[in-house]
Amino acid sequence: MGSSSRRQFLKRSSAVAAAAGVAAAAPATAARALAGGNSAHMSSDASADAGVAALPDDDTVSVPVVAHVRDVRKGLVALYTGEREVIVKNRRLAAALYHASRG
Amino acid sequence: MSSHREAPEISKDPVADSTDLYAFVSPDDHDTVTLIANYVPLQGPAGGPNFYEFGDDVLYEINIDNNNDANTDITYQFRFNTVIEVGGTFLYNVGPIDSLSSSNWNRRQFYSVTRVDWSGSKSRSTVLAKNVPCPPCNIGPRSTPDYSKLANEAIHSLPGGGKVFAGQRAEGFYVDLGSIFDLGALRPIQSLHEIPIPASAAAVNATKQLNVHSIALQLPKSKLTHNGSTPTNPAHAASVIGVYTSASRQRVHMYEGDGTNTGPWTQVSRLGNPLFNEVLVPMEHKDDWNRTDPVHDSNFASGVLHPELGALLPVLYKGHFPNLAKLDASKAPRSDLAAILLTGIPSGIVPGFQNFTGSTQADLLRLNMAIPPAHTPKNLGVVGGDLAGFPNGRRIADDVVTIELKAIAGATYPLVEPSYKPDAAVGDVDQGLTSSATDQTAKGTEHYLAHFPYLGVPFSGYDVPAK
Repeated sequence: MGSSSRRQFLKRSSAVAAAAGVAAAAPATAARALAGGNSAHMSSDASADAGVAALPDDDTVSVPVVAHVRDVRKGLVALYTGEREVIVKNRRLAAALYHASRG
Repeated sequence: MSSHREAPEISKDPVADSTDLYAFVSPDDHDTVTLIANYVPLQGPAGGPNFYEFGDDVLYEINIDNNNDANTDITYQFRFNTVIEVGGTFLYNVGPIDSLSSSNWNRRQFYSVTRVDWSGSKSRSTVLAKNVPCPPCNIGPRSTPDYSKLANEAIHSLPGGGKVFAGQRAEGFYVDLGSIFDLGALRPIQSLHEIPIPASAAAVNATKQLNVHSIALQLPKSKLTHNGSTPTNPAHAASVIGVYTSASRQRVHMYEGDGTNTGPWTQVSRLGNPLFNEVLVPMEHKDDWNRTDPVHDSNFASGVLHPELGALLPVLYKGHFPNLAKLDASKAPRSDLAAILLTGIPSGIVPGFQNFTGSTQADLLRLNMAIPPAHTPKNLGVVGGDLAGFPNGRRIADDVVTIELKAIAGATYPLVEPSYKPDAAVGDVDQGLTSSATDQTAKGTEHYLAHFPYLGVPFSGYDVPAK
């Protein structure tokens, strides 16, 4: 049964809108940053950082961001921060998170 | 119970478990409406040293529909935060708490009140109060020697009119839980049960001398109508509001340090009419019901139109409900129950009364604010001829268990099918916890107040349980 509501719809709308932006940006930022953070690649290869997006350096850095890979094959990742949920469809990001979780 | 531990998941999360919702025109201030949402069920008063409190990580809301579309138009939000004032002690208090600013009081809660006005796809939030103190729990004569004084100090006036209280209260809902959940038995007529216990017996108030945590609002009626008017005509649609309470948690919790919560708020509990999820929704759908907003309740309407308990009564009390058995066998939908619980009762059904909010099926507690309080309230509400009681909103002394049992047993079906004759046994359907139609104390087991917040002074841990 559906559990949507006007309020949830509004939340979803904002999430989808945000997702569109993040999804577009993700290949150049999040996915690359995560790939750079993969222990298999990060050890001593300084050049791996070359394409990584600049790390933020403001108060938002201390706010937790939780990633939930909902469907790695479809590239669906839910990001939770503050009171927001951002849905990203990005196979590289999902794959990077999956591989990172494998250690 | 009304909605205490009524679904599998929420029964494991007491601070977010909505137990009762009340909505009534204030008997001592007819221009206002009182809304009370209770949480944290079945509190044993002696449960220290970590006495009961609201959840800092829970968003509590009282939601109001005032334009008959079953969507929320006004929300009052409540957020709590807990502070340790003394430190270095395991105790809740290190001496008598004689005021809300007592330095002896170690663990305290404060809260904020925010009103959200919804308009189409937009909302406007207004913070009405911040850092409002809750009273302590009622510990005992040494720790909280004048509890009523503390509770009165915790009643806070709101800008623009109205007042708010949030804190411990005596449980006001009364029910013979032990008997009802023992295969649907009512002690006064248990000798008629399919598994008879020969002698009829006096009912037992299973929630007697327990406490609960209440969020209580008393608001001018004009703050609740869509056009800011004060309703005076019971026949007008604008006189009716639909109310439900909800509790939400953030989507993600991580068990590290003091715990991290993040993500959007997700509803985990809700309550409109008493007993709806408890009695009318199958076990496997109860958690989903809690997550769903009332506007989607057509998904759960089958439990109202064909109530399981309506089919069980003729089986449990064989031979005593022949007409109900025929009604159930006919598969005719219980339109009477749908009106009471899902749409409100339209004009022309009960003389002088309506609380219809349109055809959208939604479990909302519907209050016609133009109907004044009764001079002599009757605990069976509209069924008992008192239009100011349940299901016209709900007052704290209304015997909602008996009202709903009678309705399910067929007492209200003639409202939609005049040729139906309720079984004689419907008159005997009574949980047996009131001594008369006007008993407002559940045979002396409840002690309500005549003024806000109406629910009684909570029982103290020193006094309850008694020797």
